[in-house]
Amino acid sequence: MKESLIRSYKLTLLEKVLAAVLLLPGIGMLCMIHSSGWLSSGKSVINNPGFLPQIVAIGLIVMSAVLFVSSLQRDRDELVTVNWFGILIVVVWVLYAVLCSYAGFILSSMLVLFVTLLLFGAKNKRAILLTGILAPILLYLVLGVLLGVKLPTLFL
Amino acid sequence: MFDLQLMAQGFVGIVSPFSLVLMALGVFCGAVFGAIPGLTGGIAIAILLPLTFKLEAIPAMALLIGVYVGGAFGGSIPAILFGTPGAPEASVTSFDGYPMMKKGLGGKALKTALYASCAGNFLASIITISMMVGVSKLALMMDAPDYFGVVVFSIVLIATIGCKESWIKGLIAVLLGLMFSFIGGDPLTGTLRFTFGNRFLMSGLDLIPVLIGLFVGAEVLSEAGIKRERNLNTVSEFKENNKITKHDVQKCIPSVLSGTLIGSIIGALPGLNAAISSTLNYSFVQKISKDPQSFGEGNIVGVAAAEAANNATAGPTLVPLLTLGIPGSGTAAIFLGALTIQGIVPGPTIFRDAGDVVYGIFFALMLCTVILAVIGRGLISIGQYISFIPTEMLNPVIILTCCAGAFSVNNRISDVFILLLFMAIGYFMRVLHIPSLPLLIAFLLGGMLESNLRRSLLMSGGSFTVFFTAKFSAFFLGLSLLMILYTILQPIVKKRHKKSKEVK
Repeated sequence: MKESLIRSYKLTLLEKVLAAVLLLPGIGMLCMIHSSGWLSSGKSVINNPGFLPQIVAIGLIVMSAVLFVSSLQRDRDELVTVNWFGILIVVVWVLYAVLCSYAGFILSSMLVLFVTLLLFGAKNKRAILLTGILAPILLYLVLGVLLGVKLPTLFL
Repeated sequence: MFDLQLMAQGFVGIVSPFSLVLMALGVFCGAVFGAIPGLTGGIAIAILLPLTFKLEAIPAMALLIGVYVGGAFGGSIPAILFGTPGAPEASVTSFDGYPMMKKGLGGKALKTALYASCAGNFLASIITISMMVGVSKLALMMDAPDYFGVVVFSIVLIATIGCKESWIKGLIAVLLGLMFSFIGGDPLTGTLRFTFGNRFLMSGLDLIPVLIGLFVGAEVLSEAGIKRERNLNTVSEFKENNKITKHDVQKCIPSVLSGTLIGSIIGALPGLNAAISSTLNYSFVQKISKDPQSFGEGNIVGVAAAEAANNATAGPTLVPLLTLGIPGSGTAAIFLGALTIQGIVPGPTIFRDAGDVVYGIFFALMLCTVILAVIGRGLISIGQYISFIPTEMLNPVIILTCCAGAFSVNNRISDVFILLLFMAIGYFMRVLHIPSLPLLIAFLLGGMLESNLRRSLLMSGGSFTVFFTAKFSAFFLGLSLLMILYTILQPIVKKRHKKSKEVK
């Protein structure tokens, strides 16, 4: 599974994908600006909330085209490694953020640390257990108790 | 020129026992993080940043400056011991440091790196405070059009010269940063933009989760599932002749002085970093040396040149931030976050509004250097063991600390989601060779750019000539245009020159 999640792609292919992705915020911003009335709300054509966002939106659309063309004209391609493990870890931590509100900081942190340590490739079971238990408690003591941050709680 | 009362207040705040302890802790943490390949002092600062929320301004700055100074030196430890720099700016140190290690002179190389770092940093700190006073006086003469020019110049500098890969990717990063900066209220009218009706986006994206996410994401996520090979048999023994002699000191002094000057100038310019500074000074010292062939073979002067220039950028990097409110580097951006947490607005009036903190920062830079010199010998002896700390155990704890830190800023889970989003963005930017610094700086300066543009046009009744008649605006905008033209035309000219050579 590890090998299938660490994959190599041609940089030019990823650049073409990025060019396509960049179109979305560019076009989305333009639609929002023109439907919101920001351009007509200010004192002038330039001095309004929509002027600079419009420039940036057009810039994103133009740069996505420039990036696409430059990826076609590149003499030499290179392979880049995408470690999808990293993205899997982000997904796990998003679930942690959702869980934290219900289960509290310490329990959710212990659970997500165990999972993440395994995903990062830690093998020593004792070290995983100790780190998974001690780190959230230590962090809670420093942030929650010493610094007075109101971390999410359940019954701990 | 210097306000003695504010200097005294800053000094008293920095030499308090609490601040001294925080500085020592900071130097130690920074050096440890810097010494571990894959982690940097910048990550350590980013992680500790939310913790400064509950500290007062001067102790908070003391801690972060300590981490900064320690981290700048820490990267040289694995560079010398294993030929693997702990941070990009330490890569030049390995040119001569690692060959010295192979000759059994690793102890000498490490001590040279330590003392050159301390000397460069200490001297540059004195230059820093003079620069700060001078630039802040200049900044008081500047108006909205001038600020607009300076911000455009900073962004262009970071996107072009600071981005070796390609100007296209630098510009994309800038546009993305500006896009994110528009979320929330318009700086002049307060009109809500791109909030999608979400109340958490009404105040815009908070600096801390964006900063930590971009800084930490790329470093930590790329290590997932990959075990670093560690050869435990490389714990080294040093030969007995590892003492630094008077002759060694005399040889290194000129390179330390040139490194201080070069580091101070490079550090003060937005977008240019310590790696450029150490490379420039190393090349310069090699060129003027009577024995240039020995560089790269284990010349002690090479180590001193690289480390002095690298560490001399630390203080001057804060000059554009404190005096103009323009962070020129990722680390300066983190300090902007720290000042924001303390309610301090950097800019031309900072000496009036928080002069004691500014002088406190200056004294912290000097004192942390002294602390580093004292505890550095201990760090050197444990340095080779620090590098073996397994990152697969550390990285998950780093992510947890970042999430807790992001939450602690506003007590909102939404900030944790923003942190994770920017971790993913930072990671993909690294994969695609898109620099994240232009995105970060454009995000930070987007509001300033827009508000100064529109204020200038309000002042001039909508006329763009205000940007050419203001004191400094035309100069900075002209310089920006030249840099853009150079960046776009240089590869085309180079390609044509290459083709004509091939034809001949």
